[in-house]
Amino acid sequence: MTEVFKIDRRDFLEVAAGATGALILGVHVSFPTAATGGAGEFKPNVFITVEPDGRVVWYTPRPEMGQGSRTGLKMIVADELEVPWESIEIRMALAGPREVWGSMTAGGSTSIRLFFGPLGDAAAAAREMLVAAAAARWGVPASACTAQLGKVLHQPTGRSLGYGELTDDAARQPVPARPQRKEQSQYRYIGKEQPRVDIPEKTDGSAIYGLDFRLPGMKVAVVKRPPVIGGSLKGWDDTDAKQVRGVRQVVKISAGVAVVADHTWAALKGMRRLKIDWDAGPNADLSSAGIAAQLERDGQAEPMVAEETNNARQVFATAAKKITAVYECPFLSHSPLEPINATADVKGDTADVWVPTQAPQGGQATAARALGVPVENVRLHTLYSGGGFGRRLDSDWAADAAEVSRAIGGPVQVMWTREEDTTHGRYRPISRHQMEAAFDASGKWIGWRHRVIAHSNRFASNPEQGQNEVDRGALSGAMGLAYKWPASLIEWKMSNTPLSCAAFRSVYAQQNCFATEAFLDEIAHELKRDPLELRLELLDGSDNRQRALLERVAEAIGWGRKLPAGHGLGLAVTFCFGGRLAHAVEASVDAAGKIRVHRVESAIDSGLVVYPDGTRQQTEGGVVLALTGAVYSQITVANGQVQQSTFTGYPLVTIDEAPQVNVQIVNGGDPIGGVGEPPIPPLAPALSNAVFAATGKRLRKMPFGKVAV
Amino acid sequence: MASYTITVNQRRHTVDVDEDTPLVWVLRDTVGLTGTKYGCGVGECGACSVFVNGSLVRSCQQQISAVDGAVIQTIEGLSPDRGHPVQRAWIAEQVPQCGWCHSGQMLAAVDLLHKIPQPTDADIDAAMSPFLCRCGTYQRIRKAIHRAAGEVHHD
Repeated sequence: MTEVFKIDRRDFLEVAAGATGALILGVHVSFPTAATGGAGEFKPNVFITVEPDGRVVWYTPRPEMGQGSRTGLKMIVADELEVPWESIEIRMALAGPREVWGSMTAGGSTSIRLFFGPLGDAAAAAREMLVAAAAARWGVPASACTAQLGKVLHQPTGRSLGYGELTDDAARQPVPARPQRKEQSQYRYIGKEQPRVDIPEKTDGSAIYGLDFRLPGMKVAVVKRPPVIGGSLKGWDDTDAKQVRGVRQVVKISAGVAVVADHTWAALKGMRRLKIDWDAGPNADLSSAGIAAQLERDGQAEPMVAEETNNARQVFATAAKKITAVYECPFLSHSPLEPINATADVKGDTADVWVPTQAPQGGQATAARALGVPVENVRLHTLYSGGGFGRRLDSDWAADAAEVSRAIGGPVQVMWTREEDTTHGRYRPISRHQMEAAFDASGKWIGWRHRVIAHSNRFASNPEQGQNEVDRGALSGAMGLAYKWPASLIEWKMSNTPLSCAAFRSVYAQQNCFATEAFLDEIAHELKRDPLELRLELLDGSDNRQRALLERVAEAIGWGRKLPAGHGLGLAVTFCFGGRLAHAVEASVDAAGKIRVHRVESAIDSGLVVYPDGTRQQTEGGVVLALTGAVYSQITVANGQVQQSTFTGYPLVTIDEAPQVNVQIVNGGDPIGGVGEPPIPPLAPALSNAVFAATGKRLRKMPFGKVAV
Repeated sequence: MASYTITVNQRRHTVDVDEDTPLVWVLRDTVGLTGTKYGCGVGECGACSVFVNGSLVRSCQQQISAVDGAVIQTIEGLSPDRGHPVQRAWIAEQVPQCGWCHSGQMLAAVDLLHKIPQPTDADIDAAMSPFLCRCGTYQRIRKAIHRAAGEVHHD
């Protein structure tokens, strides 16, 4: 149970001064990674206000980038407060200190699962205080009153009062220590079909994303970073650039150079005509072949043991037979469709920045650091993001905008081109997976081994620490699995690269799940076992919820049925970010070697589902994103430069290639799990397994591209 | 440097921009309509699509000098109240996620339904495959087009 607080100051809520008589409740959401106050010093970080005019204003700390959590969170508020859907106004909170807001970061599939309890408690407490206020005014017991759609009713007398008429009195009521939450059967919105709050304005061009934001007198800047990774700016000749009408200034920024102009085209043209002298730096010879060789070399070096069961090293040392396989995953670019951008207006030692970001506090800190001012001097306004997928957890561009604004003495919007984003991404880390299975003399399977060799997001900037510590995050999807391995050895070898890497939707779970679930199919094949049966046996009793999902998708895809010639079925399952999800895939390979995915059957169990259509959206979309990664995407390097730039070199799956995805939603019990990330990991292995079933060809390296048949 | 006149969503605008300025930046920066999105700038993604004299084009690939005097329709001009059958279908099927590509997707759907009022799945594939969606909303786009086709039919 969460403690709910009455709030009597509202300066940090950025509401008009003088608004009085509102009921404002706050609640503390505890974040595993957030620095919160000391023990007992809980501070509220989620705020709901009921205004005297009956409107409810909910200040959300979490950005919306298309993942839909804003709608799910609104459902929780509307239900527990018991108000009409339309009466809630949602305002994105300004970035603020973690002590006030907790983590505002949209990442790790956390928004619904972290907020369901506390946000619902705050709303339920507000409802009880409103009911108590009405009961006191009527001189009747609160138990004789009920809340219904923004009103308190006293049924015996038929009297009713709107919430707005009660806010002043309600604010004087004590905050209930244990507000009564609704029973599931009483839910009006949770678990039901509700329209997404952000869709209407996304159908007529009125939604304001980062790049759509405008300020009076705002200039536009296009930036360029060194083409060679780790390079630096030596200087430039702007004679030609300044001939472009509308180009105002060329500005050095920490990360490179910016061309400032009256409008975007002038900035783009000016940048094209700017002659820039770069210092290539230490990575001029870096290549994908060299990075692959490094991972291969590190794969032969002594790894760290992350997990060992049943004396696995001994089992492998004495096994009669072993099969091995190497799985490989490339760097990936997130490539959200809205290009990277930020707007800044620096005035002296304070600044306003407007950023489409997943991490408002990170953007605020980045801008403050760039300006050399205290973090509280930066007001960061979070705007809609046109996609995130982890790309917008970073916010270098807030620094770009702040630096340019300071240099020109006025407001500016900084935009990266598509090419700049692709070539200067924060890529999904490259990884190599050395898999091994051991068998005894009778052919019985006795050991599982997975050695992960990867760039470490955690330790890349602190490799010394990484020499002595396993990056457990990088082993998500490899260790701690529910499978009852006969004996298991999970090993880690850090292999950092000069590329800047970061979380990509589902983070390392996708690479590790690919290797795990595809190699498990190889073992099933070796054992002449049905891959579904083997999985069910390995999960029996250890995770029956994953088991149930596999059974559901197998039934839905028609596992074991006679297939059209050249078709194959494959399946895979994951448990990551608190959510379990299985995919079953029907695929074929045409004469030209092109993989065709005909249908995907998905089943997800993340416990209680607040926003079912949101879960379907995330699963359907996740399949397409993961399919793009499985068949097409890779970032490669030659002469220290990323070789891909636009969508011709970095293609995305298109509608004619997108399979029908059917989603089953299962509630297998508490607690609430994540929804955004789990659809990603099992897609590539399920597809690899389906292609093997169809063709006998095992795909172990992403992207699969064309299959040689 | 010259002056060009375009009619956007039934309003005339005279703009003073360089002749090689792509229409997408004229719309976004000069006319002030930001519903038309920049996604790649090289005609690969389709997010910047608009109608020019009734033909669907990628506005990042149209220089202003080539569209002088043209009648242009953007997403903002589809209806005054989100009431166009394609907008209604997009809302009913809850299509957009991040939404950045959908101005282009919806105008492409309008174009398709104008040419083929009752498109098959194959028609949809052929018409819509040049329009990229990173969030992966394709199957809802398909459903929404079928829904809109039904509405257009009954209207």
